[in-house]
Amino acid sequence: MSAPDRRSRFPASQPRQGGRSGDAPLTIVERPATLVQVNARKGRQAELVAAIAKTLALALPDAGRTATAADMAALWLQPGSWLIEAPAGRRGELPGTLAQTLNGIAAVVDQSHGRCVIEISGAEARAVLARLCRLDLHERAFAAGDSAATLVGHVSCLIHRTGGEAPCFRLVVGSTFAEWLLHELTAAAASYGWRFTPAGEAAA
Amino acid sequence: MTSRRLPSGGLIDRSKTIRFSFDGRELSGHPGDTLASALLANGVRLVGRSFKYHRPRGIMTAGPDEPNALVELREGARREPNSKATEIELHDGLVSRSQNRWPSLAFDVLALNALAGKALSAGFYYKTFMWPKRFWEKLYEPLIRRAAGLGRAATEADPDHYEAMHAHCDVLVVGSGPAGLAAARAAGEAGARVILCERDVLIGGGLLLCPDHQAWHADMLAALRALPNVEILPRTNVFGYYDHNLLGALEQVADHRREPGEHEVRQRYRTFRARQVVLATGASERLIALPGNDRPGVMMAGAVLAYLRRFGVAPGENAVVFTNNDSAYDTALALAEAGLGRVTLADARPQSELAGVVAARGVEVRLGTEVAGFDGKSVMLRQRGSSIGEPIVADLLCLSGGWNPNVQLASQSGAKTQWNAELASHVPGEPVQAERSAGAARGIFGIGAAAHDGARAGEAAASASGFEGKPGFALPHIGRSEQPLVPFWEVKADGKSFVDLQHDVTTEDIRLAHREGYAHIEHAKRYTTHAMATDQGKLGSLVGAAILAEARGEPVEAVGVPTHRPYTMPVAVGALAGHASGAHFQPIRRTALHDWHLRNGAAMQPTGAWLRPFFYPKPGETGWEPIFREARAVRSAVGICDVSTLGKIDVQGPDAATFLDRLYINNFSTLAVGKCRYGVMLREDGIVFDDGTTSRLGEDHFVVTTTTGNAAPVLEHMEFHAQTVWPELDVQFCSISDQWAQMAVAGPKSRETLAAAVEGLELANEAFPFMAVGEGRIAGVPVRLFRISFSGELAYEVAVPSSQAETVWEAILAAGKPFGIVPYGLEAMSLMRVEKGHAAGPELNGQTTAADLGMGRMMKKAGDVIGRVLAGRPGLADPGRPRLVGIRPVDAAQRLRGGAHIVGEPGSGTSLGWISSVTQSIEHKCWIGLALVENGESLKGQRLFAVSPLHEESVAVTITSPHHVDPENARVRA
Repeated sequence: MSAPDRRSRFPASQPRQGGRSGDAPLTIVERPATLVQVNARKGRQAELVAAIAKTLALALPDAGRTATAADMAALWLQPGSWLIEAPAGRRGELPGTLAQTLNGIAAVVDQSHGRCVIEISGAEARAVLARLCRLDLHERAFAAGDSAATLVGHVSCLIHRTGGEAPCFRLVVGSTFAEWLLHELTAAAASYGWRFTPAGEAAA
Repeated sequence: MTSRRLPSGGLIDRSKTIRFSFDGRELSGHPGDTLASALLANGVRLVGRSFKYHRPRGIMTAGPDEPNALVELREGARREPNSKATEIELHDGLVSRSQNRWPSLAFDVLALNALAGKALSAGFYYKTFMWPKRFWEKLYEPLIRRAAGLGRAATEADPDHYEAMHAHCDVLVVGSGPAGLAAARAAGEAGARVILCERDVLIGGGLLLCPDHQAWHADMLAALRALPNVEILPRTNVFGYYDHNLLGALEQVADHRREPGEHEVRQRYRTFRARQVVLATGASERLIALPGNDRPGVMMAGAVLAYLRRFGVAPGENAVVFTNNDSAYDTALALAEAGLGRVTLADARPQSELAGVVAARGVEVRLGTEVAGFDGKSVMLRQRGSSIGEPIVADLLCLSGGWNPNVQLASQSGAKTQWNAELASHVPGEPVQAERSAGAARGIFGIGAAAHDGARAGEAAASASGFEGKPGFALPHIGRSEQPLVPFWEVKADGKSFVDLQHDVTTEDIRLAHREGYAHIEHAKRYTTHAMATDQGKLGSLVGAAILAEARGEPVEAVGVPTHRPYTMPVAVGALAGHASGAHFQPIRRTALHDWHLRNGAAMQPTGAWLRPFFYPKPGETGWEPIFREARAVRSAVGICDVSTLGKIDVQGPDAATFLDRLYINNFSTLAVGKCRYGVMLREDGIVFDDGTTSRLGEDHFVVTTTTGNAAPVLEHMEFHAQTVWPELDVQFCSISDQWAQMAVAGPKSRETLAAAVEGLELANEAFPFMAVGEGRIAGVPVRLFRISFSGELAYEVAVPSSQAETVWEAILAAGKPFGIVPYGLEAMSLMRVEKGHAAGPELNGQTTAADLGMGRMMKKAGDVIGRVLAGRPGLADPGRPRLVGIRPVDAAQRLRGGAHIVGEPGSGTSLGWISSVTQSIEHKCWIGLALVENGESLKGQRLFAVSPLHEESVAVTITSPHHVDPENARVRA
């Protein structure tokens, strides 16, 4: 007996939209992901970096940065600690694989259900975030690949900017705050309009 | 009432008409008008009554320094008092009313106050309404409020929306006159990120009144708009300058419309974090104190120039311009050009090079002359030093006592102000933060000089933030230098001379304050209320200081001015709250089962940030009925409860067990893998901090649970000790509170229920005993099972990856259906924990020790533990301290109340303790409670009294064990 893998933190699975109908609405997308936190054992950070480079071809980034390779990413969390982001399809397998690979090198903790990744993009993405967050997200101050832990809409978030010309940010938020954050984002985007797409369900 | 609109000129659109009303009269104006300019154009002279004396007042200024023209705007829920007519952009359908008059503006009963003027002098309220005391609330206060009543606020909820927005920049420029424009362009062209804030709807400041510089103005605007790194914010008043170059501003997004558009905010509270700030805030013209200087028809000379040049309005028929400086000559010329009947210029200075120039254009010039009075119809002129006056027919008296640089923001930033004798005013001193003032804001007057100064400031600010570049644009030429002004504060003559029109403070009030000992400027200010109104004394603050200085026999600069504080202009609290009101007031946290609870009729209850099910009432159930039903189901069969809000922390590493041994009073290194144990954690001071169960999943892998409220504090506590106290420990931990949803399945039928749902784990008592931990699957979802109990029944907790919570919850409900499983909420859970005698929030109250709660024996014999040393202090170790006990009424029909005191005899003044938690027991069929009672252990079985003086109750009670149910703890092991 196997249940469908419900990946969304939001009750309604249908896309929604709201706010003013303008030309540059904010696009909000829930990104289903496999999220694994790795915390290096004392004095084993170099081994962790090497092991992740070898197994996942990811160069664990420095403080305040993210690293990406193929369909994976790594976000710096705190000294010796990173969050690995992989496609949602690996939820069943990756945490266990990493726990084995990193045995004795790092603590491996599945956070796939504990964090929700919300991507926001659109010409006014920065203007919307300026209503919810006090960081300077201008391209000169927060380049592609930069990340920061901060408050967005009064709740703790990890924010990072993806590559590409158009402003696109990802917010990693505690999943019990996901609906609140969406509520804040859509309110802040009301004068531009917004569209929201929750994560779909994967087949059982 | 005649139209005073000039046939041409100004920045208004005469081709369009705007309809508005004032005190019920339908009037019209044009786009580009303010409410004040439209009222003046319609010939409205009287716009309000003064605060204290109810003297008739007219429009005096054209900006935020307006003391008189305070109006009530709009209607219904949007009704708003105390708006300055000079600051309101006229819009179609605007409803405005005068304030502070009763019953009508023209006939005001309280104007009689003016006759009793002597009695209403400075300190009047302190002196008069002190006795008899009982008269204050019933008589004096309502009377004063009625008389003062500056407009009426709406009583309904505000229908509009507000928001806050934060921005960063290299250079923030405040003010868009010649200095601000030049600074913004210089910094912008150097490559800096620039934000330019302008209070007004139009960008340009003083340039708006200078037709000669129109081309340069237009060119500057076009150049700034073409720079992508420059943001221009009109209608944005910077109101405060705080530490670390943080500035606050209010953007009036939609105040110029009848109501905001759909999805549009009315106002936006903005904050800026700027590397460098250029304050190009200009200057404000100051008043001259003279009898009748508050009459309708008295206006500031600069304001009259604004009405003529910007709004195409001539505010009078015959005018006298009274000045001590050159700036008012422009006003005199503009009045003459506008074709007024007679324009007389009285200059307090004995000589003026400009006399001939203005005389040639039809202005009558009187040098060495002062104005000794004004009654609304005629101006009394006299030679300075003479007592013989000459009345001149004039309905407009324009005043200019010189210009005060607007140093408020510089002063707020921490810079001291300096006295500038040439201007007879204060200018900003040495910067304390990364700011500089430019143009008139630092006493550099004239379009050309200010523009040059602004360009220099912009260049320097850009350079200081890392952007080099010389301004490459043309600047207006620097005009001729002005003739020096003569400091001139007051014309001493009979009658009331005002220094603060909004608060009705006269020169005599200032002198009275001095005579009565309030000689310090800060004391005089508070005693007289001078400069404490919404105009912040922009017109007369310095004049009042000069009069105080004279009374003290000292120069003005020795007296100083009161401290400048935010806000430079009134800001509605609603704007500061931004959008954080109603459903956006504070974050709401939802468990993964939140929507199931809503769909199934749960009554939700805020607990901290969470919303949790209180109970799930069935149709027709009231009061305690759903709680009793849910609790009975658990005690007799099985129930399921969402306990996902518990804090969960994953702890790993070779030193994980050692780490936990040092955090908890009991040991975890002795815990077997696959088992869990209850633990108690102390604060450093020996008081109980938190409790919960910790499970050992592997040799070096634990899961700690915390109480809901302490999830974050316990993690912080761990971080602090791991990072600073025991950095040598190899331990890793992180919150997994959101990763795992958790549900309690409790009741005698819980094993059978779970046995039907769980795959891969044997649940028989021997295989999975009390305090066992294991893994299995429910509905195909991998789950963790813990055999722990909060209710006191046979019970399990099931942890499930949170996205799958509903699937598992539903599967357990289905498996429990044959046994009558019910979901139960917080209230039933609380009822059962009081019955069982578990300590919770009311007992873990930050005052109790482990021994107080009956858990003293949990403290390990050896090894250091956080809190051990201080828990041994005599006060905390005293065996007589209040101890946790159970309590029941002697008469089962009587109720207990939380908070009631425990006493030996009714009427005793000695409290032995208090009731911390109560409930109605379903097992005992009466109220029961937990209490903290001195020597409680030895009082068991004794009869005491629970008294609640608030309810005038005294209930005979028996002290019992806190375990009202199953004290042998047999059920949980069944």
